[in-house]
Amino acid sequence: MKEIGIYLHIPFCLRKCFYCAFNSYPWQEGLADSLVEGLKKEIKLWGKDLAPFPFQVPTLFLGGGTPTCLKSKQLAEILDCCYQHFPLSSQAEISVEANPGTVDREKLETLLGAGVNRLSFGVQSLDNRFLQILGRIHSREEFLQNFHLAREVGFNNINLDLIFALPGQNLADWQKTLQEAVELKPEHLSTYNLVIEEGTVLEKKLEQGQIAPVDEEIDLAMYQETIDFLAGEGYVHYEISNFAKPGKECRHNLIYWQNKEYLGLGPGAHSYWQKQRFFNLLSPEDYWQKLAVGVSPILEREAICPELEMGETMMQGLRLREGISFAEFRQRFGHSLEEVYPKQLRKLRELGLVEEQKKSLRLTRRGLYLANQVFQEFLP
Amino acid sequence: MSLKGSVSPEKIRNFSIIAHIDHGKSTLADRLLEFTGALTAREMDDQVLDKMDLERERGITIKAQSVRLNYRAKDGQEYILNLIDTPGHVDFTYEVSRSLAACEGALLVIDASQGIEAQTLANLYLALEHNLEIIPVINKVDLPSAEPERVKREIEEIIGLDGDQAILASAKVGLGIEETLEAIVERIPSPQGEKEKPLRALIFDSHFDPYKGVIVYLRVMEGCLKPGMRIRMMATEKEFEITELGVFKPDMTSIDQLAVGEVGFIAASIKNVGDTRVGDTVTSADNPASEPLSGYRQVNPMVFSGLYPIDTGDYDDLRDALAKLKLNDASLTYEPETSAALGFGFRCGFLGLLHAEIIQERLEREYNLSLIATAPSVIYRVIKTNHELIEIDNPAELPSPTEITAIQEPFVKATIIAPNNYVGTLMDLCQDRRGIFKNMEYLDENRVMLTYHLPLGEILMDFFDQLKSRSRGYASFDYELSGYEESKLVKLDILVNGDVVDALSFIVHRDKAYQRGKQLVEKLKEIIPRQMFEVPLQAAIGNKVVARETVKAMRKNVLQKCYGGDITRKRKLLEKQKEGKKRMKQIGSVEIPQEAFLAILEVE
Repeated sequence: MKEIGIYLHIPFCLRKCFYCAFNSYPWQEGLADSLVEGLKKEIKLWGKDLAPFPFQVPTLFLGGGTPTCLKSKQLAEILDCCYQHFPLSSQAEISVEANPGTVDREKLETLLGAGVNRLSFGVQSLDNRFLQILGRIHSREEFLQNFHLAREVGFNNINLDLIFALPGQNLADWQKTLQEAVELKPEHLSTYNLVIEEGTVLEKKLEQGQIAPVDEEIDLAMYQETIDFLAGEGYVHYEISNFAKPGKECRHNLIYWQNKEYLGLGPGAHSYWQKQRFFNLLSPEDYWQKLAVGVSPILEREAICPELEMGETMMQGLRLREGISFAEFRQRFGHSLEEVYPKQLRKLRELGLVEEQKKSLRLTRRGLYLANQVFQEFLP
Repeated sequence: MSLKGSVSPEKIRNFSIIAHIDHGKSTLADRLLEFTGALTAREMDDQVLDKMDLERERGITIKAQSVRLNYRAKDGQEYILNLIDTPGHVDFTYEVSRSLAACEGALLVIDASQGIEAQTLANLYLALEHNLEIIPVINKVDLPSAEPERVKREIEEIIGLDGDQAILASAKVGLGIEETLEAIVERIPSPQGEKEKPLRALIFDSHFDPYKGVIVYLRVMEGCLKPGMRIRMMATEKEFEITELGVFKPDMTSIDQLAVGEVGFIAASIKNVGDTRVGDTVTSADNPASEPLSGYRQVNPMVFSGLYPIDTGDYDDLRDALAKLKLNDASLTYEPETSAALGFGFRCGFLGLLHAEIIQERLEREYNLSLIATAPSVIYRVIKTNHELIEIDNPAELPSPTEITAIQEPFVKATIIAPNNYVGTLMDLCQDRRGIFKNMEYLDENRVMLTYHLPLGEILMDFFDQLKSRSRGYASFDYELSGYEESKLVKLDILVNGDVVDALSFIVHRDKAYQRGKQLVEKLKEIIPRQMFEVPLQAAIGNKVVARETVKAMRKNVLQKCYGGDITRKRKLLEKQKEGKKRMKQIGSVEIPQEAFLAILEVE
C-alpha cells in the first residue's frame, strides 16, 4: 500500500530568531484561530482528494514556526482532525516540534494524550551566551526544566536540535554542549552548522561587523568532533546532520531523504505527490482566505521529470550514511546507477568522495564534508 | 518609392556632427530629423541613427549612418541636407576621417557645462584637416550648470573660432534647432565637382543586407551613378553592376541617379564587405578615373585577443558567429588559434579596446555564446638573433629569450584634458605606465592639456578606467599611433598548479615584471575559487619564479540544515553553486573562471 507522510506547518513564533529564514510570523491570537480552522479545512480537502487511493500515513509531523505556541486545545483539535480524515498506520510516528520556552506540564500532557509519541526540542544551544546571540526566547535553565518535565510526563522519544559554528564559539564550547546534551540521554540529536541567511538579523549584524563568521577549519573540526563523539556515546550517525539511538531514527525525515511522497499542509508547506512538488501560499492570511471559501491554497507546482527525480533521489539519498542501494535505484528507475551516472561516479570515486559499501553507494568521510560538491554532479 | 534625381549641387549641404561622448550628438541629430519632417515626433524612437541596441545602451555610435533631410530655408529655397553621423570613439578614427572627407562642413557640438574635451579636439583637428567649415553648437544650455560664456571663450582661445558665431542650443528641449539648420545652409559651402568627369565616389561605410548583399554608403565627388552601371572599386579592383541606388530618408529609398555632391547608397550584389573598404573610391568600369581619391588606407587591427568558447562544443558556433559579424565589419579579423590551456579558439584583431568589447558582447548576446577572452595584446616586433623580424600578437608566441635580439612595441601620442587639480595624479599614472612627458598646456585658467608618449600596450591595461577614477570622471583622453620603438620587454608566465597556462602569459617591461607578476597572482588568488585541493599560483620569467600564492583547499561545503520538505530550495542552492562552475574553464584539474584571463587588466 502507498505511504504518504504528512507535515503540518504552524507558521507562528513568539519572536523570530536572529538566524531564521523560514516562513514564520509573530503569533497573534486571531490569526492563530483562523490558521487552525484553515488547517482543518485543508485536512478535510485532502482527505476527500485522497479517498480514491488506498494509502497509509506512517508519519505525522507538526513543525514550524513554533507549533507549541498554539493552545493545547488547538493542537489536540488539529491532531484529531488528522486522525479522522487520514488513515494513520498503527505504529505511526507522530512528532511535534517544541520551543522550550512555550511548553508546560498541561501542554505536554495534552500532546501525549493526543497521540504524540516524539518530541523535538529546538534548543539550539545549552549556553545562555549563545542562546542570546541566536535570539532564542528561552534560557538553558528553562530548557532543562522542560526537558525533565517531558520525561516525567512520559515522552520516551525526544530529539534535540543543536547549532554549532556560532559566532564566537570555539571547539571547547561545542564539546561542552555536546557533553551536556548526551548527559540528558535524548534518543535523537540533530546538529547543524549555522548558516547566516539573507534577510536575517544575523546577516545584518555580519554586515555591520558586530559578529564574525566562524573559520571554516573550526566549523569542520566541530563537525568531525560531533561525529566521533556521538559515535562513542552510542548514537548512530545515520544522516549528514542526524544521530539516533538504534531504532530511533526520525521516520518522517527519512521520507524526505528516501525521496518518497509526502503532503505539507499549512502556509508555505511543501508537498511531493504524484511526481509533482508544490507548496502553499506563504502568509497565514492568504492561506486562510482561500480555505475559508473552500479553495486549494496551493501557490506553485513543479512537475518532476524522471531525470530530475533521479537527481533528487541522489541528492537526498546520499545524505544517508547507508547511502543509496544499487538494487533499489535500479528497481525505481529501471536503470542502474552506473548506467545513468558513469562519468559522475568515476570522477567522484577518483576524488575520494564516494565509495561502495555492501550493496550501496555512499559518501566517504571526506565526501560528508564536501557533500555539496557531490550532489551538484547529479543535478541535471 | 522612387524619387526623381538629381539635385543641383548648389542646393546640397553635406555635414557631419562631431562631439565628445555624451555631449548630445545623437539627440541633436534626432531633433534635426524631426524638425525637417524626416520623421514625425511620433515615429521617433529616441536616437534613430544609433540602430544597434548596444549603441543606444552605451550612448555611442559604432557604425556611421547617413540621412537626407529636405529643408525649406528662410530664403524660401528648398535644400537637401545630408547628415553623416560618425562613430565617436578613438578606435574608429579612420572611419571618422572618411565620413568627414565626404562633407563640406561639420557641427562641433560642445556641452555647455563640460566645455571642450579631448575627443572634441581630436575630431575638430580631423575636420580641419579636411578643410571643413566648422559650426560650433553649444548644447545643453538649458541645464543649470551651463556656462555658455565660458565655452564661447574656450572656442575662441582653444579653437580660434569666433565664439559669437556659436549657436546656443538644447537638443533635448528643441532650442536652437532652426538656427542650426539655417547656419548649415548659410555657412557650409555647397559641394564642388564636375559632373562630366569620370565617376569618383567615396565609400564611407557599408553594411550587409541578407537580400541585397553589401549596401555601400557613398558620396559622389565627380561624375554620376546610375542603376545598371558597371563600377570598379579602385583599391580592391573588384567590379560590380549596380542593382539599386538611393538615399536614406532615413529609410532606404530608391532614386534613379546619384550625381555630384549627393550622398546615398548603392547595392550591387556584393557578397563580401571586405570588397568595399571604407575610404576606397568607386569609379566607372567603362570610363575609369585615372586617380583614386586621396586618403585611402587599409585599416589594420591594433589590438588582439584570443576568444575561446567555454564549452569546447561551441567552437563551430563561434566560427559561424564571427563570420557573420565580419560580414558587417571589415576591420574585424580572426584566425584559428590553439591554446594548450583553452583548446581551440580564434585570435581576433580589433581596432581598439572598445571594438573588442563590442564584438565580444555581441557574440555573447546575439549568438548566445559563453566565451573566454584572453587579455588584449598589441603587435610586438621581434628582431631575432638570426636577423629575422617577426611580428607577434600573442605573448605565447614569443620566441625564447636566447633567440631574441630586441623587441619593439607600438607607442602613441596621448592627449589628456583635465581640470588642473588632477594633473598631478594623472601625470603619476602616465609616468607609472612608462609614459614620456611631452607637453603641458593650459586651455583656460582651470583646464590643462597633457601630451604624453606612451606605449600602446600600457593603455590596454585598464588605463582608461584609471584615468577616469583618478580624475573623478573629468579627464578625457585621445591618442594616435606614433610608431614602433625598442623596449626591454620580457614574457611573464603564470603557472597554475605547476603548469604554465599559456593564455595567462603576457609581455611586460622588465622593470615592471616583478610587481605585475606579484599583483597578478594575488588577484588570481582572489578570483580562482577554492578547489578540493590546494592550488599553487606562480608567476615566472623563464624558469625564475618571481611571485607565488596559494589558493587554499576547500575543506567543508555541505548543507547541513534539512529545510523540511523544501527539497526545491536545497536543489536551487546547489544549482546556483553549479551554475557558477559552468562559467569556468577546466584547466588540468583546476576550474578557472572567465575573469581570471582578464585579471591582468585589473592589477594596480
